[in-house]
Amino acid sequence: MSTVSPLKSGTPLDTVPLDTGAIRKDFPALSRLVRNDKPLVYLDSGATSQKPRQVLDAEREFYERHNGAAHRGSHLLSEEGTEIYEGARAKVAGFLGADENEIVFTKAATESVNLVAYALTSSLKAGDEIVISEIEHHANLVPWQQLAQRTGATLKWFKALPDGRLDVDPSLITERTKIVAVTGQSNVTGVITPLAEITRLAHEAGALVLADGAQLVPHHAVDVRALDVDFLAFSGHKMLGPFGLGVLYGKYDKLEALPPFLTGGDMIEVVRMEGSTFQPPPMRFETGVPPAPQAAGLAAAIDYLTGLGMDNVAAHEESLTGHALDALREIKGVRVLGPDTTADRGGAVAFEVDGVHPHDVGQVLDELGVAVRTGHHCAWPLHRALGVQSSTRATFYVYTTHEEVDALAEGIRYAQRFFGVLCSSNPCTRTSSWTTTGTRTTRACGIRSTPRCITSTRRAATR
Amino acid sequence: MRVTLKDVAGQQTVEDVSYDSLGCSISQASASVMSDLVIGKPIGEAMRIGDAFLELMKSKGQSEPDEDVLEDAVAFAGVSKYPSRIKCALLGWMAWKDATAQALDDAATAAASVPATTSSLSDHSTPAPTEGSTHD
Repeated sequence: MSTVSPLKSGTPLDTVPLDTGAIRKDFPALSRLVRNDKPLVYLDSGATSQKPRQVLDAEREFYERHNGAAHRGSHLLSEEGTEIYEGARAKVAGFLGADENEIVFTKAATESVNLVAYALTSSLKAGDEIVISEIEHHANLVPWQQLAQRTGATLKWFKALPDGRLDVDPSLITERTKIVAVTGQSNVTGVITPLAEITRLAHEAGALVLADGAQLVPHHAVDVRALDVDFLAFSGHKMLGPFGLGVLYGKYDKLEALPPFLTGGDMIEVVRMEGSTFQPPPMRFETGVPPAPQAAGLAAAIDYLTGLGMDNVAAHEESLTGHALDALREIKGVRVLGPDTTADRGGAVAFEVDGVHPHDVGQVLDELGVAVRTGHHCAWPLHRALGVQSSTRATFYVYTTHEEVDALAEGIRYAQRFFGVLCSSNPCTRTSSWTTTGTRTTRACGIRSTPRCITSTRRAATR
Repeated sequence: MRVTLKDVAGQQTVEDVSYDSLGCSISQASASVMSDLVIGKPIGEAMRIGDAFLELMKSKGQSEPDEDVLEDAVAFAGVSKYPSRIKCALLGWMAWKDATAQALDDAATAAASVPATTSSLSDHSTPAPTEGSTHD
């Protein structure tokens, strides 16, 4: 990722490669009003992106014209369904630089990771090692813990550095390592990991590599051949596509080496009462009537992104991220988690506001029409590693504007005023604890007890 | 959370509630109001107040809370309109109910093994759900 100098808040942005004004017209949800009749400022694309009309149309057209079960039936509708579904597979393959038979459709990135983790069960034994990292989303963490428990293998992990980057300790990867599973981009700090370096280390040790691409593929041009990872998992709904459809890319020989995960119809070769044989990949991993309408939607999403140009998408988000980092840095009492520059950092900006819990920040922002994520963002160990109880997160995408970044900053200032955390005579700290003994409630504010905190917080909470 | 129960004239009564916590304004304020409400009340009455509060939280902003029962806790009526925040308001209540139930269990066990005394004090602590108000 190229490094663009962060933009100052309010700087005219004549170099922005995306015409957000035109783009936003394609996204019906972006024009709705939300609480208090405020326009929607959607800063939660990391959780799910909004969907353009083109994607909705593709899905609707499937239902209106071609609604047959793909891979089944001898009639025209079924054949059209098959064509659309397999066409989407080819589209995804082209988007990643992969072959069609290396693309497995799943329900979501989470299922893609689980597929590999379950399919590896019989290949691992006690003494083998699995390497993950401390910055993972739970979707690329819990399945590996479970695999370790099932097989007796040992789970190891790269630690997070204080700025949220990975401490890639090569000594963790040994000849005992069977698989290394790391994210391509953190969903909390936006940190872009050195996937190529990790992949090289893993391959030198003879280990497989799975990359969680849920936050990478929607935002950057990804070439799986260049990355050289063995598996890549991502979801359609975070990249303008419909819910309910995810992708597992796998190198063909690596997919071929895996046994099935979910079993049933369609994925079989021959079924007898005594036992069954299975299709080659990718069909081996797809059972049940295929989600062809969702695949049609994902294909339209990829067309949309390709039309914008993934490099433009990445550059647009980089300028938004730079702007957000600058704007938040200027607010006293706000601490951004993760790197403070846009170098190797994607468009996820999580932050703490001193004295205001993220749930409260989120609710105040919501009252202003600003939609953000609050909590752990499914990355609890990362929050622990960074010494943060939880955080508020803004994420950006193709339709996000610089005005929306300014609205976020203004909203945070408003939340600080609302909770009265900025006056110097009221030094509530974020680590303050509350103790009630008998009928007296006091809040220890680090420096001294300030019962006023209670009064103001109780009032704010119940307003 | 620490709940101290005392036998007052044959009734188990909440003598004290204390806790160490970290959370959003609603969870902290609600736990504070809850402590004020339950301390000094017989367990049965305190539980009924808890039930009334739970009802209020489930009301989606449609019910008129009884101020005679809920006192300061009526201020949380608005929270019931925000489904994602209801658990914040209930966090302290759930911890208190759980701690109280465990304290009663412990008291019953102690009474069974040491038949001499059932009165006086049972003191119970549950791990403070310090991170319980966040989710996902």
